Amino acid sequence: MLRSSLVLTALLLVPGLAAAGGSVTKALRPQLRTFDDKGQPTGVLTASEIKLPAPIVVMGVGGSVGIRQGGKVVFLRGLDVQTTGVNAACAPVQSSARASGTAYAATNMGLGGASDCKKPSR
Amino acid sequence: MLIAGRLFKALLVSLLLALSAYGVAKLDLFGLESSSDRLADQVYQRITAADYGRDRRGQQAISVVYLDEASMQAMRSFGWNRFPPTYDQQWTMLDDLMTVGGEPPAALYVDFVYTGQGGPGEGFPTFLAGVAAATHAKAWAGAPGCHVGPLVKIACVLAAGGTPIIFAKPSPTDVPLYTDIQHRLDGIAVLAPAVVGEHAYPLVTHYDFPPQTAASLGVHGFDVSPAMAMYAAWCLRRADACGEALFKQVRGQARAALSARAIGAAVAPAADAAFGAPMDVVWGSRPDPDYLAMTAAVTGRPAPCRGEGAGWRQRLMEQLAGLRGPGTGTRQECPYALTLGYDRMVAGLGLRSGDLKRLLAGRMVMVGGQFRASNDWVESPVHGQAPGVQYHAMALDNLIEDGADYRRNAAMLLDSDLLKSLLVAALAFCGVLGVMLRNNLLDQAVAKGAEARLSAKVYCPLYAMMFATSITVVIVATWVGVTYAHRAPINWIGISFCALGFLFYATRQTLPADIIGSVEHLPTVRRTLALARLARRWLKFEEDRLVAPRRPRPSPPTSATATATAKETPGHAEI
Repeated sequence: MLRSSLVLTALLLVPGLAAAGGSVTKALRPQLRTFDDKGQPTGVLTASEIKLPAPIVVMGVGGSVGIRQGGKVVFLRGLDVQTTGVNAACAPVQSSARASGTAYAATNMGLGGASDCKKPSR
Repeated sequence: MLIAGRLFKALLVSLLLALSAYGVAKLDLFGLESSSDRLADQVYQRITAADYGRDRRGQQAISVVYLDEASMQAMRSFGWNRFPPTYDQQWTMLDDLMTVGGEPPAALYVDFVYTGQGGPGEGFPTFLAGVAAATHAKAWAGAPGCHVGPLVKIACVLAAGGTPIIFAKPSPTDVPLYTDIQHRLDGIAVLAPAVVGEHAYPLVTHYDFPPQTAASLGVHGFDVSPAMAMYAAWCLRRADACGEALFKQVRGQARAALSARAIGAAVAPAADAAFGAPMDVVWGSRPDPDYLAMTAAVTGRPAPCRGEGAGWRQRLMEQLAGLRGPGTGTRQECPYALTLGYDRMVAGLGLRSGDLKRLLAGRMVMVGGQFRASNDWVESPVHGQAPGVQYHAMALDNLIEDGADYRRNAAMLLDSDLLKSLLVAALAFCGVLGVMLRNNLLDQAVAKGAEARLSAKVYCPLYAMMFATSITVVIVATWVGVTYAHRAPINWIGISFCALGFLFYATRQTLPADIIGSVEHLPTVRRTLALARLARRWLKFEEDRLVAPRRPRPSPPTSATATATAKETPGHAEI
């Protein structure tokens, strides 16, 4: 009984956990640059090497997308892939530091996007 | 005869005033006159900024991609761990701009100066190979005719099916430097001097270098500014070449160079006829709707821009009340061109493929820095401090909107001081005639047997006409100059003040007399006037002595000396 409950719970939770990070649904380029968690380039993946949809297991600081590939996590640029359900925090930076007379100071800087964020910071 | 004499007198007075105004303008004491000219231009731009680019022709063609401190921080996730980034990282950026929109941009301007002195040149071969592939250099770089000038080179790139890439370089007159890296870039792309004048944006720059020096500095005949180079690329892609004979000639020359019909060094066509005058860059204030949409998408909140509803009436009121300077206020002016940080592109959050297509595909893309620590910022009359790349983008927008009818910097073309002085003379002439007319009307009123004063029904329209006409003439002259002569606005603030000041001076006796004459029957006015007379008499100091002189002892008067004293003393004489 206990065992079947655990299995049921796991079955219910795992898709939810995967969806919480979103997934990569499409590769937009024939070749995708890959990086490690420190941002160092690790090479190139061809689009056919990625099994889609690929669950996003972690988001990098600059908006890089971490997926599991060949038993390890590789980071892709958001520019190269199409994602869905990414729950990044919407936290524009520097807009409050936009001083008088410097109209261009980081007007559209920020992390997160309207279509991806759950709770806008304001 | 009397009328002719009066007209001559009015003319003489107005010419004397104009002469003194001309002298003051030429003297430019403490730079006040030139500051005043600039201020007039800036205020004019702030008032009319919302009316610039109604059809958004330029906005539909131009995009700006920027890097700043926050971008560099975000890009650490993609291996950008040093500044400046390595050449291959920079090529990755340019390659992204070339490819991710689905089709390459129409032209690319890179507002970074590559001299090879900013650090190790790792990845430079990759960078060079990428640029050469993008510009299809293999097809044209070997043709000497393609290197006679920057415009022909751009035409060669386009004729070869490539994308013109324009790199910034320092002006050869400011920094006489031409490094190996610049030389190699010059062979496969276009270099344009990015240093711009403080108050005027040059489009074509000629240098007086001897041929040997010019060759050592990589100068091919003349240089064009980044905006001019991008505009040339834009026009050369159009079948009608923007209707400019220059670009048609350039296109023909490039075709000849590529087909090896022109062997040896041809002469670059002169661009001075249409684009020789420096530009007075006009700044628009209505941001691109795509910019607003993308900013909302990548930040999760609307762009903190000033509303589009702020038209010229509201802006005029703000300027009259001194409420708003450039780049101030709770909601500031946003960039005019579609602008996006490169790191936002790379992260991709909130963006769709369609957004990247709108940003890059077939557009005139300008890449530049917005680093707060750099000195690549300009003063925009509308936006306050603006990054240099936005200045180039705005100049390009002006060219796309107005073509060869771009707004010229007036100070560079003709003696604008003479123009202003003539306008002052004309206004003063009208003012003098107005005063003379008023005196005529007074004479008529007296002749009719009425009181020796003008009624309000007569003098109000007269004075209103005199003052309103002056203001209207200045406004119309400014508008005609900007709209039809394509010149920077004349110093409308200075001329208005000068004309109004003269009118107040010319009517300093008649205007108060007429106004007082029609209200002095009121008891309150009479009492106020009496008080004012008392105060004025008490405040009069010109004949006062600091120490009262000792009164001479009076001698016994005789009848002869008493008569003589009365004649010599002015006060007595008046009585």
